[in-house]
Amino acid sequence: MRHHFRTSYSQEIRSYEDGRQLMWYLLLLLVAIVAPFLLDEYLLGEATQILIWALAGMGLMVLAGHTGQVSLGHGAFLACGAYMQNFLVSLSIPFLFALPLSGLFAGIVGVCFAVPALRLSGVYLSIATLALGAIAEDIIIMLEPWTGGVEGVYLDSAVFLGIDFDRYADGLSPLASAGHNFYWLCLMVVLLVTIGYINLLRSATGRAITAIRDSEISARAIGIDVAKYKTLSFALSCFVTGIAGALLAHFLGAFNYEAFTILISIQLLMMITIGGIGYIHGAFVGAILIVLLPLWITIIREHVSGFLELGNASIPGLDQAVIAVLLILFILIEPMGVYGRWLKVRGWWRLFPLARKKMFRRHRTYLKTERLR
Amino acid sequence: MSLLKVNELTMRFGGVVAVDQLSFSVEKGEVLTLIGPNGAGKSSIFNLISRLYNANHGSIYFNDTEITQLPAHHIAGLGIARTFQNTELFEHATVLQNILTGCHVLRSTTALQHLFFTKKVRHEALEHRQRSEEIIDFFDLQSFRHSVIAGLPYGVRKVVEIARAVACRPALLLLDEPTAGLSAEESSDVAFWIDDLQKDAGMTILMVEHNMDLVLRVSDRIIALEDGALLASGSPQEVLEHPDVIAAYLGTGTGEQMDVTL
Repeated sequence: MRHHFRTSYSQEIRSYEDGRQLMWYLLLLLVAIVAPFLLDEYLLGEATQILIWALAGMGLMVLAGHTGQVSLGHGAFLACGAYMQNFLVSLSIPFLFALPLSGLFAGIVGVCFAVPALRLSGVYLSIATLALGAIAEDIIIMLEPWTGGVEGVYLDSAVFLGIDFDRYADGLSPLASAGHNFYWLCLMVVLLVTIGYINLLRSATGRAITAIRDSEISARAIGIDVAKYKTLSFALSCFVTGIAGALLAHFLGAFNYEAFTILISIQLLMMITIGGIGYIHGAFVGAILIVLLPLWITIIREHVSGFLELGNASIPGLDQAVIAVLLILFILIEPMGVYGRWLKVRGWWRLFPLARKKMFRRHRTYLKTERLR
Repeated sequence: MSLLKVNELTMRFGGVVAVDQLSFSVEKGEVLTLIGPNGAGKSSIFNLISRLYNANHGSIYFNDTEITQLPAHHIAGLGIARTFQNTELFEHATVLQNILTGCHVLRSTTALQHLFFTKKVRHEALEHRQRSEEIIDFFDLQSFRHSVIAGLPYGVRKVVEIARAVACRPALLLLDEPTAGLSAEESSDVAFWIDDLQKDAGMTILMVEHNMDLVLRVSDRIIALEDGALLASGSPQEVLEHPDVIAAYLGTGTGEQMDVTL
């Protein structure tokens, strides 16, 4: 059994629980930094993809997990970031400067969408965002001069100050070979966004947006400007998703509208739900699951078909089906996702042997003043 | 000078008149209780003052500023805090986080500063943490500090809600049935706290309450309402002995006796 004995308030407002936890995270960061030397080219690509999806997941998490505004159309903002990045790079703006600008563009589009859409709430907002996600494909195809229409676009390779960040670049320095620089860039962006996210959550803004999620009526009564904070949350969410889109553009190198279909938006939401909605960790856990799942499925399928002598026939839609089944199982059995389950296991372990099953049961909520809504 | 002044306030739900041409005022430093049968419009008045409802007619002044048209989130900043009849807490947050959220209007930093957690933000966070601890001490919530609301008993939730409302140092506190559903002991605690808030913290309290023991114990003045209109107002004794109040609560006694056969 472990107990936190705090002796000053500054221990309560810091971003980590205790020195031990900080040590674990620093160790994780160290592993993440040296990962390119440990992984082969394929796995490094997967790791980069995990970082990019975790970034997009964090973008959606602010909105869906912490503000309670579920968006089913975040693929549209991913597209905003990706195509803007392509456009800016084609104007020969250094790609590192283009990155925040692409995010900003997605953020502005997000706010333009949010101002009218946030008059809706709950499932109606989701439907509106779903419509946005569905229409995004058509808009991309129609804006052919900028987006290349159905054919899509090819990005120039990303070079900044003589350092080649391209995924398939043969590194200029002896240390950096294919994809290392790009991986570190993604890691850097993810690190910065995560720190910003943690800071936000431990300050008044974070409390305000979670207050909106838990009880809008109370939030108004204690002086929180609900419309302002919802818009702010939308802006931050789209900004981060836009940056993820811009990184994805460089990762893919060439892409068209198919990279941003409505399925991507839904997959993003499924990702954070399975990972653990309402936790920053959930975005990372979800990203790991979603990116590595096809790999695991392939491995398992090879074994199974080898065992049953089925041959190497691929089964279309198998990945989606497995993810869908996972989602249903999680919603039924563990709505807090993988990370929520981990918290329960950790809680059980920390309280050992005092933990009881009932401590972790879902509580019913008391009667709420629904008529005020 | 009155702290809160309500002038000929009227509010209708379709054809139902919830609040009917009501005028009253709350003086600085007093505990004023609104009583009345169910549907008398007590909670509607609270929702009108905290701007969750729009008035059809009339005006509300707080510290001589008209608040009738202000958006709801400006009210707390002016110094009016409230609780809800059936607790409206942030279920997934701890008691401490709820109280810290109550400090929202005391902040002087922007979201951008929060993003980088600047020195000023840190300083303010420590200040709010200290303030929350004072409130936790005041309401005896130490043992629940890090408990999540969803697992707490109803009695504690009621207290946490008052604690959250007090966090922003309001001049006027609106308590909507603070003892509904509480045990006799818990109600008596609430009575002490109301006394302390009035005398030590200098708060003015406007309260809706059905528990007459508590009402008599803490109120300086009582206003009795029926069908959204004023029935009687004055000292507790005056109001409770007022013939119209007795009639509203118990009937007039002029109706014919019913024959009840068992």
